[in-house]
Amino acid sequence: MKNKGIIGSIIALAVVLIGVFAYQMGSRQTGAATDNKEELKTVGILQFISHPSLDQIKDGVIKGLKDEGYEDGKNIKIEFLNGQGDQSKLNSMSQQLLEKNSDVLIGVATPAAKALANATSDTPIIMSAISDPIGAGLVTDLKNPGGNITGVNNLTPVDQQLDMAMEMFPEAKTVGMIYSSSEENSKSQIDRAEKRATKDGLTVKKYAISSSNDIAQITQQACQETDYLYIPQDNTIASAFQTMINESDKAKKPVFVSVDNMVKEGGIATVGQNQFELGVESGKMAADVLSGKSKPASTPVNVIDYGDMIINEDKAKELGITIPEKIKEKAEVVKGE
Amino acid sequence: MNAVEVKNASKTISNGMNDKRKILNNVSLTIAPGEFVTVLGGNGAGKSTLFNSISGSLQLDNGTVSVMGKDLTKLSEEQRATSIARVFQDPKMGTAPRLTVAENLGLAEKRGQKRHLRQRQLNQKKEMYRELCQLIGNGLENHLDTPTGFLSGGQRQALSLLMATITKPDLLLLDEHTAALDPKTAKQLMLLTDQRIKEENLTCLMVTHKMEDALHYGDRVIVMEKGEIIKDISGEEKKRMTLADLFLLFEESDTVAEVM
Amino acid sequence: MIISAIGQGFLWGILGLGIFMTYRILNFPDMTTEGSFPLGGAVCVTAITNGVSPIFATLLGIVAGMCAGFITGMLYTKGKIPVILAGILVMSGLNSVMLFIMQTPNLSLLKQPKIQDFFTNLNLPDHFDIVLLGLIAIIIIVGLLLFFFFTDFGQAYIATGDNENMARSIGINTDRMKVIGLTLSNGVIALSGALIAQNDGYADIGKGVGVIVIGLASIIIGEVLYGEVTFIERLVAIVLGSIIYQLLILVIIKAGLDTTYLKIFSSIILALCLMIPRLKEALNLKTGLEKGE
Repeated sequence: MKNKGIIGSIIALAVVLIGVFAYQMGSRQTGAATDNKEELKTVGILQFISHPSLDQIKDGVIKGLKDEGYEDGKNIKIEFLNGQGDQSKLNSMSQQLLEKNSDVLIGVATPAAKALANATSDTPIIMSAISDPIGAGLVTDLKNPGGNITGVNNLTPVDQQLDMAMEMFPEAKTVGMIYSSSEENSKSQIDRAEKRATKDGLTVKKYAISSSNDIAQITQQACQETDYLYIPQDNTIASAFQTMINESDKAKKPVFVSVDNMVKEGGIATVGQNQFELGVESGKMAADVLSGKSKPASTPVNVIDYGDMIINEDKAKELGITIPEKIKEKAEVVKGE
Repeated sequence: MNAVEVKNASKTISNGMNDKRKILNNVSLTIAPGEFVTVLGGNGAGKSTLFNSISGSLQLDNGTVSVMGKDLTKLSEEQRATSIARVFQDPKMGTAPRLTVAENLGLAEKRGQKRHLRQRQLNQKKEMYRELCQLIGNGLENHLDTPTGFLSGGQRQALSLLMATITKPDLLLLDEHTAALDPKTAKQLMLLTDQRIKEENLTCLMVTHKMEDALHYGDRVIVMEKGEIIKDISGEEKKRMTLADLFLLFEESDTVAEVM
Repeated sequence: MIISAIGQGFLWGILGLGIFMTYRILNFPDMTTEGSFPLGGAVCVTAITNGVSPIFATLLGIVAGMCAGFITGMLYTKGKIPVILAGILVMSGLNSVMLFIMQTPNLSLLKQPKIQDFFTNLNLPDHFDIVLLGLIAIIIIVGLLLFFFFTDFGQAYIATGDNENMARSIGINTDRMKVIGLTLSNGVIALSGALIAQNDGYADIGKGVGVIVIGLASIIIGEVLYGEVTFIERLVAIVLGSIIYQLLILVIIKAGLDTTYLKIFSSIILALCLMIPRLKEALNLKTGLEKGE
C-alpha cells in the first residue's frame, strides 16, 4: 500500500480510536464521576412524526410535568426532537438526547420509544401513548416492567368501539377494516377488532395498504364489499384521510375511526381517547421519576383502555344515518369540517 | 482434416423497413491447416458477416461452421473461443483498459480453459511475458504493469495480437487489424503478424482493404461480393499475381475497393 | 459520538464494498440493493427471534441477499430485462417477501441476543463494541474480496466489466459472470443490512430507502479523496470514504442544522464530491485522478 493519503487516514483513525479508548478507560479508573448535581435536570422528549394526535400528546406531557412542578427553564430543561417519520434519524436523535445527559426520556409513539430503548438500558424511559408495549418488546410485564421503561399504554378501546358501531349500524352484516401494512400497531389493533367483530356475528374483510397511494382504490373496493368501514390508529391513513372520505362519501358508506381528530375530518364516530390527557399522564409519570418518587422497574404501566364516545352529527345526516338517542345523550358531538 | 469448413452459410437481415437483404448467400469455404487466407471485398460484400458467423458473434440462418472437425454452429461466441482467436479492427476492443499488460496476457493465456479460484500466478509468468513482448520491438516489455488504457493504439493492437496467439488457436481471425493504425505502425504489426503465424504454424483468415498486404502476405486470396465468394486464388497463381492483377479483379466486379 | 460514527462507518463500508462489486467493476448500477439490504436485516432478525444464534442468523441474511441478487441476475441475463429494471422489480417484490418473513413491517430485537453481544459484554467504553465488530467484519470481507479478485476466476470477472467483448472473445462466459457478481454483491449488501439491523435493534421493511446513496457516497468520496490507486487501496478507500461520510453527517447534526433536511444535505455533499474533479481541473490543480505518463 503506497498511497500516502490512505496510510495517513488509517493512522489518523487509529490514533483517534486508541486515544479515545485510553481516555475513557483512564477516566473510569479514577472513578471520575462528573456527576454534576445541577439543579436543572434534563428531560428528553423524542416524537416520532408530526401529527395532530402526537402533537397533542407532547403538549400534554409538558403540561403533566408542569402540574407536578417541573417547568421548562425553571427547574428542568426540555430537549425536544422530532424524527419526522425517519427511523434512522430516531436512532441518532436518541443518541443526541443521551449526549445531553437526559435524566428521563419520553418517547411519543412506538417507534420513538423503541429507538430510545435501543439506545439505553439505564436512563429511565417513559412511553407515551404506546398501544402495545409487550408486542413492541419494550416491557415483558405490564404490572412489573422490571427494566428502565414504563409509561402509558393506551389500548384502543376496541370493544367499546364495536359496541357503539353495532348500535349505530344495527343492520350491518359486513365490516371492512383498512390498515397500512407498514405500521405494526395497526395490524395488532385490527386483529383485536376482527376477533371482537367476528364474535358479534359480523363478517370481517381486511384490506392492507402499503402506502397512501393505495388508499383511493382500496377504499372504493372496500365500500363495494362491506356495509361500513373501520379504521385503526394509523399514521399513513391519517395523513391521507381526506382521500378515504372522498371515496366513502361517494359510496355513501360510513367510516368508523379510532382517533377523535378523524371524526372532525369526516369519520362518523369513535370511542376516542383524549390524546392530550394521555400526554398529561405520561408527564406525571416522568415527574415522579425525576423527583425520585418512583423507579421505572417497579412502576406498573398505566393502561388506559376506555374512552369517550364522539360523533359527527353532520356526517350522520349526510349519509342518512340515525343516531340512537342513547348514544346522542352520552356522546360528545362535533361539527364536521 | 480441414482447419475450417464453412458449408452453405446464409444470413438474411431486414433493415427495419420491411426490406430483406441476403448478406451471406450460400457461402462455402474450406481452409487447410496452416493456410494463411486473405479476404478482399468492397463495403457490404459480406466479409465481416463471414467473420462474425465463424467467430460466433452472429448466428447463421442456414449452414454450418466447423473448425478442426468440430461443429461450432450452435455454440456461443465464448464457447468457440477455445478454438478461435480474433483480433478486432479497433485497438480498444482487444484489451481490457483498466487491467495491466501482464494481467491481459494472463487472461489470454487461459483462453478456453476453466477458470478456477486458484490465485493467478502472475509474478511467475512475468519473465515469459517480458520475452514475448520483446518480440514486438516497441518497448511494450517495459509496460508490463501499465494499465492498457494508457497505451497507444499501436501498442494495444500489438498486445491484442500477442494475446490472440499466446495459446495456439486452431484459427486466427484478423479483422482489418491494422486499419486503424498509422502506416509505419501498421507495417510493423503486419510483419509481426506474419512472423507469429509462421512461428506457430497458425491457420489464419485475414480481412484487409490493403491490396499490398493481400499480395505480399498469405498463400491464398478470396474476393467477396454481395455475400458470395467470387474469386479464390491460391498456390502458384497467387504467387504470380501482381498489384495490377488485383485491380483487374475489382474492375471486373462492380464494387469499389479502397486502395492504399 | 465520533466513535459511534466510526463504528457506523465500518458497517456502512461493507455496503459500499458490496455495491462496488457491481457498480464499479461490472459497470452497471444494481437497484436490488434497496431490497437486499433490508432483507438481510429482516431474515437475520426473524431468525434471532426464533431462537437462532446471531452468527448463524447473520449468515442466513447473507444467503437471502444472494438469492435476491441471483434472481436479478437471471432476469437480466436470461430474461433479457435491462439491469436497472430487473433490480427494481426484485426490490419491489422483496417488500412483500419481507412482510411475509417478519409477519410485521417492523421487528424488534429488544432483549434478544445480537452478534455484537460478545463485544458489548467486554464492557468497553461507549460504542467500541460496534467499532470492533465493524473492524473485524471489514477485515474479513476485504480479505475475501482480495482473495477472490486475484484468482483466475476473479480476473475473468474484472475483465467482464472492463471489456465485455474482449472477455467473450477469450472464452469468458460473461452472462455467468454477471449473475455471480449480482449474487455475491447482494450477499455482501445483505450482510451489512443484517449487522446494521442488529446494531439498531430492529429490522424494518423501509430501511432500504436511500441506501444506495450512502453506498455510492462511500465509493465516490474514497475515489475523490485518494484518486485511482491499486486494487487493495481502492477497497480501503471505500471504507475510509464511508467513515468520512458518517463523520460529515455528524458535523451536520452537531452544527445544529435542522435534521429535517438531512437528506438534502447528504445529496449536496455527494454532488460536491462528484464535482470536485471538475472543480480541480478548472482551478488547474493536481488531483490523484490525472492519468499518469
